[in-house]
Amino acid sequence: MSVDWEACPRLVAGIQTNEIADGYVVYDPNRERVHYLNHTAVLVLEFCTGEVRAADMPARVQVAYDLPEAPVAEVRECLETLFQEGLVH
Amino acid sequence: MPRDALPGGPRPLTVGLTIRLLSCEFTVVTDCPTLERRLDGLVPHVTQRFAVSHRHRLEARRTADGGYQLHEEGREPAHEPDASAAARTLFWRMHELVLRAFPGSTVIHAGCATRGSRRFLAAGAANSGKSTLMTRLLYEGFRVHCDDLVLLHRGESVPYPRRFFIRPESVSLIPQLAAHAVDPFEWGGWEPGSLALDPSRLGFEWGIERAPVDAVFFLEREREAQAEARIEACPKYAMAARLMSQSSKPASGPRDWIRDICRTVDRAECFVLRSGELEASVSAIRSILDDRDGATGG
Repeated sequence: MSVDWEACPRLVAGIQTNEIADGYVVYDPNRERVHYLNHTAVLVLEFCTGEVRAADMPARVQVAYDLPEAPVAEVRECLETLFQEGLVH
Repeated sequence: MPRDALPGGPRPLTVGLTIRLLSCEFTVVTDCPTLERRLDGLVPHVTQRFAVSHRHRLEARRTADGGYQLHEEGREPAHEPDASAAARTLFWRMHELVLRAFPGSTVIHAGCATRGSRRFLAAGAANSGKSTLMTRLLYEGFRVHCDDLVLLHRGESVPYPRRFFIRPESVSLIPQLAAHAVDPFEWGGWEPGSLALDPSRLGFEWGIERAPVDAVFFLEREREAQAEARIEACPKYAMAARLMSQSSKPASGPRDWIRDICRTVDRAECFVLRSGELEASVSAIRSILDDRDGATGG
């Protein structure tokens, strides 16, 4: 699955997020699956409000973690996983 | 004629046992002292600080064929061929009823102990070495509460009161056990050659109370038994995944399940213990807990 960088991903309705110190435990009642997200994945998921373009996310992660470069490949991989697992649309 | 068969018809129920398991109280009545001894060799003699909210009465009568008929109000009678089988059936039925009394709790495969002021869980899959480790910790000054099951509910842990299950191949790893005269009825409690160990019978103070968890160790067995134990900090989200894999969903649903796991890992320090040689595993756990207890003045 390729990421549509112009799209604004949104968290699927009904997904339950549980915050812990270094990540999220996410429950998808539609598929009855549990997902475990690290900090970076949490950050990307939190951008999925339906108002942030996917193309803008790497720069936001770069700022959040004070990275020398925007982590485009990592954000792409994370978004692909979130789409594949049905957590965002 | 089988040893426990009844010439001359049924006898009155003259033997009674009262067994407390968390918030459940069981009255077991039988006409057979042998069955009573078998059952007493399976149940834990542990101090528990829980108010009784459920009471059950179970009956076991000898039958003419040497077997036992088991009665419980509202259920079809069951038949078992001998005293050992009848005791095991009663024992597992009691555990079933206890777990049913905690419908909102997550049940996790873990041992539980306290060192100083710090409670910890040692979680892991079957055959990961939980029971062997927890039994060994008894002899190392830890207050060990259970070896295999813990209930989690809203950030607190309740060790499950059950005798420690020591497999035949593990007995030799705990040479201290040989120094004790063990009640013969404790052997073969769950399966032939196994030991249903009651810490109080070995002279240890055995108590169970509700408390939050300060540390979680997830046991992963190394292939080489003599391999050096290695302990590594584990991210909480990764520990949540490990604990979910070794726990069961409460009757109240997945939301409570995830909540219980998240609350537990969120307040606890989390480690993966790649357990090899037993002494090294004990040292690794002790060093972590003693460091933290000293740092907090506990």
